Amino acid sequence: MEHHEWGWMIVVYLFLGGLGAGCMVLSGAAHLGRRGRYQGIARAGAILAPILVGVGSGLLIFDLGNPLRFWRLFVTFQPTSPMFIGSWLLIGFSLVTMIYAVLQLPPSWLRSLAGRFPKGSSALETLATWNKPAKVEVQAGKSLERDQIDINFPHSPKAVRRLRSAMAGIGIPLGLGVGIYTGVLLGAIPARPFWNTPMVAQLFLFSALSTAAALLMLVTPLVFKGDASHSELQHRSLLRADLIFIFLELFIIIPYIIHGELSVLSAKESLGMILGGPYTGPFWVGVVLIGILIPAAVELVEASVGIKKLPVLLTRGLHFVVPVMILVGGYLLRWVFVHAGQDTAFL
Amino acid sequence: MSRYAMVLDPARCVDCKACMVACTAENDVEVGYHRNWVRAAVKGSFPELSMHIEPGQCMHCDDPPCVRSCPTGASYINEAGGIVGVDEKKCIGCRYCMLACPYDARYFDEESGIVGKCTFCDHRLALGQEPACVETCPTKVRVFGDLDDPDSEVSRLMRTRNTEKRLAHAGTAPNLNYIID
Repeated sequence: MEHHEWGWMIVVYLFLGGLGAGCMVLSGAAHLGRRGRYQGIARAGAILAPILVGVGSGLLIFDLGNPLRFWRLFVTFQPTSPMFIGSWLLIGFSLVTMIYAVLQLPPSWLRSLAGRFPKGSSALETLATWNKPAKVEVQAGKSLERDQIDINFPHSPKAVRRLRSAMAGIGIPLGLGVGIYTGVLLGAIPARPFWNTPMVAQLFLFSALSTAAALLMLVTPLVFKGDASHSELQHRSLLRADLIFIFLELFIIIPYIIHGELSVLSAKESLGMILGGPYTGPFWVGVVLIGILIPAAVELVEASVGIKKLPVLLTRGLHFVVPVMILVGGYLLRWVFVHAGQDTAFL
Repeated sequence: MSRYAMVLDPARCVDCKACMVACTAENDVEVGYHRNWVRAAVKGSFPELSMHIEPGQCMHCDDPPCVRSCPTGASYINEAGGIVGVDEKKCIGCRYCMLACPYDARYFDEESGIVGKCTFCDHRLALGQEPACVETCPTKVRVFGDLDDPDSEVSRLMRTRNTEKRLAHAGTAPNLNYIID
């Protein structure tokens, strides 16, 4: 492996950026889709999105040769540079998700904050009231009535409800944009044949959504303490969503390899990186087996026949291990692509 | 208007690397980095292989991917002569241009945190001198000049000799031409 200009900070940024973007997309969809039913996903995703993308963007800036000059990205117009477009996407994403996150913060957190900061306590108390969700009773197999679903935050003034939904609505395309951008950043470079296909952007987007679903499976129960049937419903919906994302990833990886093998010499040679080259193990074992195939198999079984018959401890274990595997695989996907790409050259 | 280009005759190169030393001295390049090179290249496939040495530097492409990818506009094409440059005040050190360059012609100076590259010694051109690498070369591998001037040495060589561009199929329209006959 030669010296690589882009190292771990870029890898972590691409991972966290995708993760945060995916959290926003899933949160927005959960908020707008079936309102009260998926309150836990909406809340957890909303809180995670700006934090993850914020940390990732921080690394991106810190990785610059001149971090203090990062403002230069915003005082010029360079429409041909994916990085320029991505910088503005990140700014827009951060603003929208921060407003959205504030309007999704759990009332209990806001109340405890109010206790600590007496000066702003009245504002925090008001926000806590606004953010109080409707009590949603979910019975297995029964769908909610329409009017029950619509008023998800009955204590919010109409304007605040609209703002919250508007931020969710704008946040979804922004999240998809950030998710795609992390792949376009690499894919737009003909000089690195390993990256130079539109499939990288698609792969990164669906990996972003899959890792976000996995993270939300882990985190949602922590920030939303609904009743047992409610959290089970959230888990099942994340599981179903992830099955779509994870199979889409697989359907991209297969043509990515076939296409590359049938392509020009540069592309073919670059694929050697994961077909016998130094990244073969991390890619096939880490990305494909641990991050995609095993989770897909377990999720497929759980979604179709259910794993209720298993002992509770084993079920809980699987609910922890499988999402962690997806996250590890997602990180390794970025690691393999960033490094393998830099080892390839146009021939 | 002028259109700067170079014609190189790799058959004349003796791998003395005087061009690299001259460039480093002329442009105060930090120790450990180089703006030009003499690289070994293998041609053909086994058993009919041949190895040759070949000097090079930034190709000063007409459609440079480094300029296209630069997010701050620090990488630019100088209207006068088509020299690809880096504005040291605008460069933030993201290194995206380095990954975008199919010739690996750029380097990242850790000290200053910005990207460096060949300038065709534009400061010398302004004084009517040739680039340092051209002037130094003892076997006269490099010829530098203006393609818009039909009487220039580069124009004459382009007319009379067979030349090719490296990685022409990358589509960046490079301005370094290698004599092949």
